[in-house]
Amino acid sequence: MASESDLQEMFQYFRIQKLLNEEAKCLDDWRLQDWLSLYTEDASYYVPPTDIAAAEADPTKHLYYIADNRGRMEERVTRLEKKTCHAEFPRSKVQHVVSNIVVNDSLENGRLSVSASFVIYRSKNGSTDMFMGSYLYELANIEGQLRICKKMCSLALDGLRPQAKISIIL
Amino acid sequence: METPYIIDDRDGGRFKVARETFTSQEVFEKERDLIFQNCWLYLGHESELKEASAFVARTVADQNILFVRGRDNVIRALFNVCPHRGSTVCREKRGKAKTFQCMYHGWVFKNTGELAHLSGENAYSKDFKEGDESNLRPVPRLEQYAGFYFICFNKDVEPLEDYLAGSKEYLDVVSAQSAQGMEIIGGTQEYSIQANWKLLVENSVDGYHAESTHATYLDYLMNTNGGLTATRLAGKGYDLGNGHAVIEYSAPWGRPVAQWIPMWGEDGKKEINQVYDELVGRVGAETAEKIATKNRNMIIFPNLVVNDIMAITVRTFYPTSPNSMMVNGFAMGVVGESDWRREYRLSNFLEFIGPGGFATPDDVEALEQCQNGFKSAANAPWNDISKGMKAAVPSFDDELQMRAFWREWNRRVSEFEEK
Repeated sequence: MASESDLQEMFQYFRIQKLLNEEAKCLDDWRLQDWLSLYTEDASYYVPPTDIAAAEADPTKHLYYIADNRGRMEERVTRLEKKTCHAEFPRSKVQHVVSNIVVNDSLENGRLSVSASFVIYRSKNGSTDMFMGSYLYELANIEGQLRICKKMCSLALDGLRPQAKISIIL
Repeated sequence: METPYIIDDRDGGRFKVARETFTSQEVFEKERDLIFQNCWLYLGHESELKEASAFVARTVADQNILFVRGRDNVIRALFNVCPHRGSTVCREKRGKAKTFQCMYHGWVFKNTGELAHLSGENAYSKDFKEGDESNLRPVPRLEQYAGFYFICFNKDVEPLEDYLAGSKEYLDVVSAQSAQGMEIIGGTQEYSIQANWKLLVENSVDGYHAESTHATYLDYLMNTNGGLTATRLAGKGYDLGNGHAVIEYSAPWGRPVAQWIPMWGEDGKKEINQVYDELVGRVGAETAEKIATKNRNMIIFPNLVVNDIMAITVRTFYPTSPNSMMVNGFAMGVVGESDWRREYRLSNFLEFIGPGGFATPDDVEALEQCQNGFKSAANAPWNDISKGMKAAVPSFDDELQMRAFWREWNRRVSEFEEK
């Protein structure tokens, strides 16, 4: 028999999985405003460098690939929605695969820390780029909804070769 | 190639470049032998080796080089290749090490390059270890200017300072940003582009493409600063000799040294004013104004870009085939700058530059689309870079910079044929 706490844990896991899957679907469908709506007002989105260990990397001290606060996340979406965003016009085909979700210990600020693995395919101009790595999320309950406060995408890549750019949202 | 590489018609005001120079295997091999073998190539910055025994293992023009400050505090460039059987000796990207051991047969080298331990030494002749031949081989030439270290594989090359010609003055402008010195900030943007390396040379000093290629970036500046500041894109282009060139211009973006934008708020304004005042006190009003408010995109022939724009990027790249290149991009900052300034410098860097920025991905798209277009080189053979050729004072958005590069490129690659 599952105990009450097991059931709670399963329910929480289900909610997390649902949120992450929903995020992936928004990105694959290019519903970027919907993607933004999954994030809190103080959210941030990071892609650390590939030559510094994830545990040591700090966006105020190291050069990242992406270090967006909420304002810049919105600007990123605005840009991606324009035809003059040449790298993504015509839009690439994108497929996010998210798996290996692990719920870490709760953070001091009451937020949930969640890790997951990703593989992302981006296809355009007759070639397909692959991005793989792990997500580290901070999630919070906002008015009964699970929302993303922070997302860090650590690439399991030795540089962006041959991808050259991260013109999609990871 | 049967046609000339370039057509340089100064009287007629036309400058053409054969597209085959971007696609030909023969040209790629000539570049390898005549340009990358004979020119000074950027290796790294002194700030990357702050302490004795610090090292960085780097690939320069497809060769593995160890950039190392030895236990004797001397900075060296060594081929990261075992003198025994050729294996790469150091396989970590950076760190601190007193010795390096080759994984293959266990030879150990001091970080000065000297062979320290020869496994199975008894089987070798007595003086085997003594000669230079069993040490890590130094790159024939290593020299520095303003903390920028360059190597050359040709021992007879002219001194670095002569080679750098007019570009020295602009490296000085970068160094003069701070009394404490400049440093490379940790974290490298490592990427490759499926395009010929010369496309990135052209693109890095191209003032003409900003308004169309980077329309979304200019939109972003306008959105985030409540309309563009009064500063418009305007300036000049300069040929610095020996294939080096720079554009110097004003622009609407913020600069950590020292042009404030509304997005940075009142705290930022205070900070930026302090930076500006310190500059005026140290270098005088005229130079301070130039350092603080002018942007500079510079190419040092053949493959170093130092762009002092919304942040400073040091970028180097080399071809891996006619239609692909490896790129390493670094951010440079002021030693000991405040947390605020470092954070905004990095933030400013990322809004434009690099694989995840609001601009570089569109440059990459443009370069790859050009390379794609060059597949028609046999039928549509010429690129044009004539803009501003007859101008008395070339504008920053003319193509003087590219012509300066291509004239030097052509001189070096054609030399072979004349012999």
